[in-house]
Amino acid sequence: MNVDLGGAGPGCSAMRVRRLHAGELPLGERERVAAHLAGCERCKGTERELVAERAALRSAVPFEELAAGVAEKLAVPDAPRRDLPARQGQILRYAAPLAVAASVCLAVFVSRQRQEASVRSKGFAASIIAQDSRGLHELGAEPVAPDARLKVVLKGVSRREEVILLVEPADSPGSPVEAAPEISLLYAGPSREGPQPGAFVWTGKAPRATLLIVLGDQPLDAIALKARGRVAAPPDADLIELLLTR
Amino acid sequence: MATLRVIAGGRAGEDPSSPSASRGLLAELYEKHAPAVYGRCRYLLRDDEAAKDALQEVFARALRALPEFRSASSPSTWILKIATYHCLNLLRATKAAWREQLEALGADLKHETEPPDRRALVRALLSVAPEEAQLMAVLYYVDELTQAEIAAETGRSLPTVRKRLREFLSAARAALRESLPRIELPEGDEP
Repeated sequence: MNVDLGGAGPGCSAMRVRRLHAGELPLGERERVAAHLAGCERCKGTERELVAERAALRSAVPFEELAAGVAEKLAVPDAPRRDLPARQGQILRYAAPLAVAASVCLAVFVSRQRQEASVRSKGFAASIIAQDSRGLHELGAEPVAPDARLKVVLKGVSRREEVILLVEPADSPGSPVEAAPEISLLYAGPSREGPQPGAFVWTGKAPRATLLIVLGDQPLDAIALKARGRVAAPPDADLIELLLTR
Repeated sequence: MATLRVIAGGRAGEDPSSPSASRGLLAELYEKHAPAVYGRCRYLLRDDEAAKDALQEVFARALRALPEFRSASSPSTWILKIATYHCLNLLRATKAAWREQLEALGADLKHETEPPDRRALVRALLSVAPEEAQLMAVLYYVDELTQAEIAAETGRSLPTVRKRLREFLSAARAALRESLPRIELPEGDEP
C-alpha cells in the first residue's frame, strides 16, 4: 500500500493556517489564505486541530502552572544549546534576580540533633523566594504577604536527602497546655542545589511559622518527621529553620 | 487541619525580571503559542508529562531569546521549530525504538488496506533519519512548510533542504521494508 506522507499542498499549509490565526500574515496573504480556507476541507481540518490543541492545553496545563514551571526553568542556569546562540545579556536579565535572591541567606539556624545549643553554619545557606505584589524577591525579615508564593532555595548542600516541612504552632491562645503544632510536608526526596521542588502559599492564621529543612545522607522518614517534627530527625541530620512571620 | 496550600505542580513565580510585565507577556504567549507548542511536544514525545515539561522549557527558551523571538518573521514558526528541535533532542537521548513503533503502528490498523495516520507514520520514522533530516521532515510533513520556507527558517540552502528530505525518505523506506513491508512510500527521490 502506497502512503503519501503529505507536505504542503497547492495553497494548503498547516503553518499558514496557524499564522493566519496568530495574526502573523501580511494583509494580502491574509486575505488569500482566508479565501482558500473557506473552500478547503483539508485546511478546515487543520483549523479543527487548532481548536482541539487549545482545548487540550487548557485542560492539561493551566496558565498558572505553566508560569510557575517557566519561572523554575528560568531560575536554573541555561544549559549550552545548539539551537540558539548564547545570549548572555538576556539570560542574565532573567536569571540574575533569582541568583541574587538565592545567594542571600536569611536568618538560618543550623544544628545537629542533640547539639541544639550550637547554632552554626555548615557551609550551606537557605533562603526563601517570595512572589507577591512586590514581584519576585528574596524574603528577608519582613512579614509574609497574604497569598505570597514561597519557594525554598538551598546553596552549598552536601547531604543526599532532604525533607522540608512547614511547622505552625497550634492556634490555642490562653491554653495552659501547649498544643501540638501543625506540620505540613512540602518535599521529601533527594536533596538538590538551588530552588527546591514545590512552591507553597502560607495560608494559616498563626502569626509565625517555621520552615524546617532536614538534611541527611540516608533516606529520611518523612512520615515520622511530619508527625513529630524535628525530634524525629536522625541524630546525624542537619536541620535548618527559617522563620516566617505575618 | 493543615493551613498550607501546596500549589499543584509547585514552583513559584514567573519572569523574575519584571513580574507584572512578564506575566502579561507570558499570558500573551500562552494564548498565542502554547497550544501549538504543547501539541507539538505531545505529538513527538507521546507523553503528557514530558510534553508539559518540554512546553515549559521551550517557553523559558523563548523568554531568554525574546528579541530574536519577537523579531522573527513568523513567531509561530520560530517557536514551533524550537519545540521540535528540543523534543527531537529528547527523543535521541532516549534512543526511541523505531522498530517497535512501526510494528505497533501496523498492529493498530484494523484492515490490511487501511492506511496508517500519516503523521503517526512520520513520527515513527523520524528516529531512523539523520539528525538534521528529522527537523526538516517535521517542518515539511507536519507543519507543511515549503522547501523554500524551510530553507529560510533553518538558514540552510534549498539544495541542502532537498538533500536532507531525500535522506529522510531513503531512511524511511529502508525502515518500512524491514519492519512494515506492506506500507510503501511513493517512488521517486523528491519529497
